[in-house]
Amino acid sequence: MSDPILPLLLGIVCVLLALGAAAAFMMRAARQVVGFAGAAVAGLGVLLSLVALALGQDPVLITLPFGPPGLALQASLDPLAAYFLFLVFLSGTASMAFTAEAAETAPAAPATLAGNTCCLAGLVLTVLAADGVTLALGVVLSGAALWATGEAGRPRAVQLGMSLMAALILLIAAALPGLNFAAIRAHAGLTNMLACVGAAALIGLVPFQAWIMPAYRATPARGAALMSGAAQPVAIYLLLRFLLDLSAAAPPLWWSIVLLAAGAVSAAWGAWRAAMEPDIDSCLAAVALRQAGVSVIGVGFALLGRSFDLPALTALSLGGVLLLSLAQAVCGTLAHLAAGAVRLGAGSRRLALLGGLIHPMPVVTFGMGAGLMGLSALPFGAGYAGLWLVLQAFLATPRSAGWPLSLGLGVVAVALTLTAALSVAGLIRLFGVVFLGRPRGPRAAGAVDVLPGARPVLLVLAGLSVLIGVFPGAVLVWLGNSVIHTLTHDGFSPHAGLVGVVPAVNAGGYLAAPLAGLLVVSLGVLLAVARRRPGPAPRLTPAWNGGFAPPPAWLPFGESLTQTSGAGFVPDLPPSDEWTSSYARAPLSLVKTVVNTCTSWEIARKASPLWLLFAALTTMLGALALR
Amino acid sequence: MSIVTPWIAQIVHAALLLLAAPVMAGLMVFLRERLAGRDGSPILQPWRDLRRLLRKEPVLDEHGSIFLRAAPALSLTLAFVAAQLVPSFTLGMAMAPMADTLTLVSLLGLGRVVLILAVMDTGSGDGGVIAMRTTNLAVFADSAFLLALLGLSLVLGGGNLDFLLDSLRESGWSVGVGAELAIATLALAVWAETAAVPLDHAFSARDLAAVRLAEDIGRLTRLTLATVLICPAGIAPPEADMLSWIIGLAAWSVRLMVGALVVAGIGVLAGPPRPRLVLPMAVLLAGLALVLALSSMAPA
Repeated sequence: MSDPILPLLLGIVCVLLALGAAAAFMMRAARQVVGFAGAAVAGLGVLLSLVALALGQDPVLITLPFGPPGLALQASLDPLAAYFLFLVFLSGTASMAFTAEAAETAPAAPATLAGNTCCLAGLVLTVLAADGVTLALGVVLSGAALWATGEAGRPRAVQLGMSLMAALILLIAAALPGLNFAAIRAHAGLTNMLACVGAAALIGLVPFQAWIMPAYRATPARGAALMSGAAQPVAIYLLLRFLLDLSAAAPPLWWSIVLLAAGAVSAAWGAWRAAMEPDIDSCLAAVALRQAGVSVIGVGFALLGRSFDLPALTALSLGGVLLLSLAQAVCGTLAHLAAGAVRLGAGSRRLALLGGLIHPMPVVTFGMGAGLMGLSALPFGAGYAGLWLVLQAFLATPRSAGWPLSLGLGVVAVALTLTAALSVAGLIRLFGVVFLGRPRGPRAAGAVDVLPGARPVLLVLAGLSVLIGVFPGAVLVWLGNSVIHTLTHDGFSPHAGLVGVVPAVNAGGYLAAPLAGLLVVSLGVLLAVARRRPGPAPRLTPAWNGGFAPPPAWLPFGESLTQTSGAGFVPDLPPSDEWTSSYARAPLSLVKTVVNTCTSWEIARKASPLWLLFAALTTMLGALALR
Repeated sequence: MSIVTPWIAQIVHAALLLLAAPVMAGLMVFLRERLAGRDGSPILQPWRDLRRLLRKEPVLDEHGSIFLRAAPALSLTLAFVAAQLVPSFTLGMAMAPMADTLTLVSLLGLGRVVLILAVMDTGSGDGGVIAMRTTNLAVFADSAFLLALLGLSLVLGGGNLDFLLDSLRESGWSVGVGAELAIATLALAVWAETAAVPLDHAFSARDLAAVRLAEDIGRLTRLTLATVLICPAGIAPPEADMLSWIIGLAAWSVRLMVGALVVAGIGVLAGPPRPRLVLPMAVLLAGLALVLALSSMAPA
């Protein structure tokens, strides 16, 4: 059925590459045309992948008439690839349309436009690839294109290096069993896990986390939107492909343990950083890392389901991973585009220099609000249903595996709930400091909203994120079901419908649509009552600022300390540079800290919540040892 | 009859909750003052305050955006919706299928997010400090809540609140040490939350009334949840008759009174809870409860 679709998609890759090459050499006016053409082609890709999702169950394989000596490149399309292609094209369309609209004003437009287009082509190629060489080609292409869009400097070089390393690892992992996906499937084993190391490097999971925040800071917003909204789902796709599609039926237990550990640490670390970083881009990068961590935990649960032959667990966690990836594609793109608009319109990305942007930039505020809501664990946000499904998957994990696994699963659950709560703190801090309150500097006071032509992009993405948040069950039924069907092989899927997401194990579920309906009705009733009995009209006055005088004329934005700068919203972690470079010193500093803490006579007062968490783990271990 | 009954129960529950929330707040203050040896303010004082506030002229901060204006209505609605999910006197209310415990906690959290953002919207110094402190504690409070409920769902085999209460009611107290610890942790977190700073900093008149009512409803909901999990005895089963409803109402009020008395008593004896210490502790205990639940369920 989907025979003509795959060639069309490959054609889109070629067209995108041609457009990228054209954008690099064209005049300014023509460049905008190229941008819109790219957005249109990517939009076509969205439609094609939706059609492929709706039609085909059977994978289609095309052998290309060229390739390295002794090997013809191969591309294939199945529901898993189609779903992630949909995400990549969605993010790409939005990002290209936004870039094209702003091409008149943005300083580095040629590189950005060309880089974005080629990066999109590379990501599509990665998803379509059916052999190691094509896969590595796609990863290298997307990484190099992103490298071309960024500011010169070390972060950009490190990012390129990471992409190259990931491509190399993927190539080696595919070459050992025999390059083709068919050969990999036949000789599944340790090499599949090796491929995951490449994917982990692409996302920046915890051993590789040091590069992502500097890289996001050095990339223009539209490139960052593609990195967050398209490249990250593609990395999750690689995990799913290598671990669940191309591997044996029952993977060894340690695969899922490795994934759960990496995911839990990344999610907790990302969420914590997201509520501490001093600028918007780093915050969003950390939020993306948190989302990735939760998704990786989901993949770990899915593998656990495979190991213990619990298809219900695999299906639940796959549903969660698919919803989380969709939320990342829509809301990650949206948040980064809005962040770019803030950087351009308000002249800074540092939280301490912004503030009150809701007044001059209402559209961007709405977009950022919808994006952040979808990226944090709040009900009616696009990402909530995914997190909820991962938590349900935790409830369905096996109980018969002995206490070490139970202990590990308990720690994963602590990490999951902590990151849920921390993500909300990150949202409050980022949104409250940047968009609410008073401006903290002249540039923020004179901010201008994004160009009228680019507004529809933000509004459409925000609308999409609200729709996903209210109807997650529908998304799962219409888009995700065939993927889950392909990967679990026995047709089970979480019972989901228009009203919400309901796991099959019990009657309850996350019924987003009725809850949203109840909310809207109650709000309507309340407003109607308030309108029927209007009280006295409100009077506008300066805020009571705890007795402090209003700022004097020569200090129009006040002392910077009169408004919070976003510090201290969560308990402290060591700064990231110190954190990463102190691996070698870690044992020593741990001993030192323990000695210091023990010799302090006011342990209870000095104990920071972080140390209490460490104590929790020891307590759990002790309790289990005593049992 | 069987189609209408859940809706009647739901409406009665909604009305009772709206009426009882300010009374409960007044009762807490009254008990605390009485136990400290003072006369105690009238229990209905919060209701009088609300009526008085409705007549006053609202004063709005001039820096505030539309967010500041929308927040009171939004937070009141969110608290109301969340409160509809926690059974008070009977199980099997119309909204019972929506009463997922994780969603309930997140809804209450969303209401708090709206208020914190509104406080930040005034752009004042102490608004930022309040937001910072509240967020700092909410991280641990929400984690503790989520973890404890996760542990409970794990033991009883489902996350729906009605389902949980039904299983607890049937199994009595023989649910295992993990579940008991989870419930205790939940109660601990609820107790610690009674010391949270009120988020009505930025409001006046009608807005202030809405925010106070929202906070009262949220507190009552949390207390109802904690007490009914500790002792579900007396709550009417689904599709019960009028007599069981009356017994359920009596049981609900007794539970609330005892809960309020315990909170006030501890407050007088040991001082108000110190959330910075108690809440991280609750996270630890909840994690421990979860691990106990996981390991105690493994077949030998």
